Amino acid sequence: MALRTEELMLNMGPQHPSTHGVLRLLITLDGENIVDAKPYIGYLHSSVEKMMEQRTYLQNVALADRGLDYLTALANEEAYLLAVERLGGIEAPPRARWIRTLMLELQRISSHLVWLGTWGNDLGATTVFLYCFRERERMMDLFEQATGGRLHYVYFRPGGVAQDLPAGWTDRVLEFCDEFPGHLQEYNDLLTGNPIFLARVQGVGVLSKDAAVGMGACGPVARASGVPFDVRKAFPYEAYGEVEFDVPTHDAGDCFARYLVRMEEMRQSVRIVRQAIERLPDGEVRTKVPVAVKLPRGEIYARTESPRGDLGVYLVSEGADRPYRLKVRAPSFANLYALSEMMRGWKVADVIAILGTADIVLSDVDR
Amino acid sequence: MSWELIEHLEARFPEVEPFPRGEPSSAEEPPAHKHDAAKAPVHHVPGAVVPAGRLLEICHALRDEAPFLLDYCSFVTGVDRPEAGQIEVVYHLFSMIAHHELLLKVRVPRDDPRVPSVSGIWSAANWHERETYDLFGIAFDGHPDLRRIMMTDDWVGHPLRKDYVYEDPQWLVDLVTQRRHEAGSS
Repeated sequence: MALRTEELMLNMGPQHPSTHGVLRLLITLDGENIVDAKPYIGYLHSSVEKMMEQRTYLQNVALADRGLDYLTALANEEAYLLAVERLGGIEAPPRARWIRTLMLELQRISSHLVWLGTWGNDLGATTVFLYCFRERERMMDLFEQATGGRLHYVYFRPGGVAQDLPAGWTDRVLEFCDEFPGHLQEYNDLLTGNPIFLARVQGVGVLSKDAAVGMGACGPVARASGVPFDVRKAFPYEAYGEVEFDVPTHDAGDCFARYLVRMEEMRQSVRIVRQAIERLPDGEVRTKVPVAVKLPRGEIYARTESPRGDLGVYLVSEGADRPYRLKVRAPSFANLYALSEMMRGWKVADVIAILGTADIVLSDVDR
Repeated sequence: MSWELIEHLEARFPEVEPFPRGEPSSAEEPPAHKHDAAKAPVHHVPGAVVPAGRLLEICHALRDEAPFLLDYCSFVTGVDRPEAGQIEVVYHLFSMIAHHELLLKVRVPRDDPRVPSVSGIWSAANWHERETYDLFGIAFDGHPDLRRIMMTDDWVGHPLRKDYVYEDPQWLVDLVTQRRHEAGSS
């Protein structure tokens, strides 16, 4: 006798601890196999782009900081200010450019640490979470000493940074840099020494190179699928053209490759931080820019490599002291779109592992 | 390199209208933010305005033909221009092979904004077009799944249009009235 079978629809979210935000996944299952996974988003939509049209260029720094990805506030400020400064012909002094580079790389490490910790936690490796947050706590202290904020800094300003680094701060960062590679080894031992972890991530959630490009995946997700593209190398901004670093890529395109790429990125970030401290020039940290700065008419698309990928700002100015239109090209939005491709054909138990490696932040997706 | 790309595009499709190329600013000029408001807009990213009817053909060529090879669609969005009665649909294309970029613009009337969907050419455009449909009300003909993505399905209006005025949805008004009533009667 033939058994009657049917596909099962499974709702994951909008409230689910592993979505790290408010995401609803509608998963179609054939037995244990994922036939389709459709993300439903918009739960955190606050129309930051509309709000930015009503605030001045200086006020918008705070909005870029808060309204987008809350784990990479500095990277958001950078993307926004890059568009503003390039359109307005505003140049930051050399010391500010190097401080920004330094801060952005520290931000990358701290963001990747949250990713690694929460992903490990999702997979049942709670220890990794505690270890990662131990180091992240130190980084937040460093951020707090330099900028006054722990998550939302509003540190970058049109024409530079808000204030110079406090005395002795770079020494504390160097101390952190000395210890951090040892900690990375620690996380690595905890995870890759664990056969259960490896079985859950190796060969799982494969995204091919063609699919990655076609679906607009970016950042570590695309690089783990063999797309050797990093905005910092291709279109250098701030001091990235003057520092040495490697862009890790992988061909496998699976969860493990995405893990390896992000781990190597943290090592490279330490390298950049060291070079930035070594070469930090003296001088001013901010050029004089009027508070209600007006930008000339025109339009620009500035792109940066945020920890999550290709973060771009498309800015249209009509000559006023506020943007006429500002579009944020969010990396999480692009990577979440590629998620269904990563999930199709895998088991329902792999959903969490795959979702974790996409490293999405829902406030970035929804804006 | 990228402005050369526009010349190639114009040679291949004479009906496209390249963005005006800004004069490179010289060192003697004051910084751009001390600008003259009457000056023509400066386009920092090379691009062209494309007629809606030719969009799909041009996009196919841009993706597949050398020297364009623009295999990556970064975003699709809109810019509302009420004074011109138009909405500009903006496409940013990028080549992962040659590392060059291009902006395409299609101007559509505000009262009936329609463009063909490019999601069949770049899958990545799928969600970006949905977002543009949601926030600007532009209909993408041939889109496989044209639904709102940010706002709820029953939302009225398109928030990123310049004349959009926010109103509380009816269910929220009802809920608040009911809560007030309950608080008053207890």
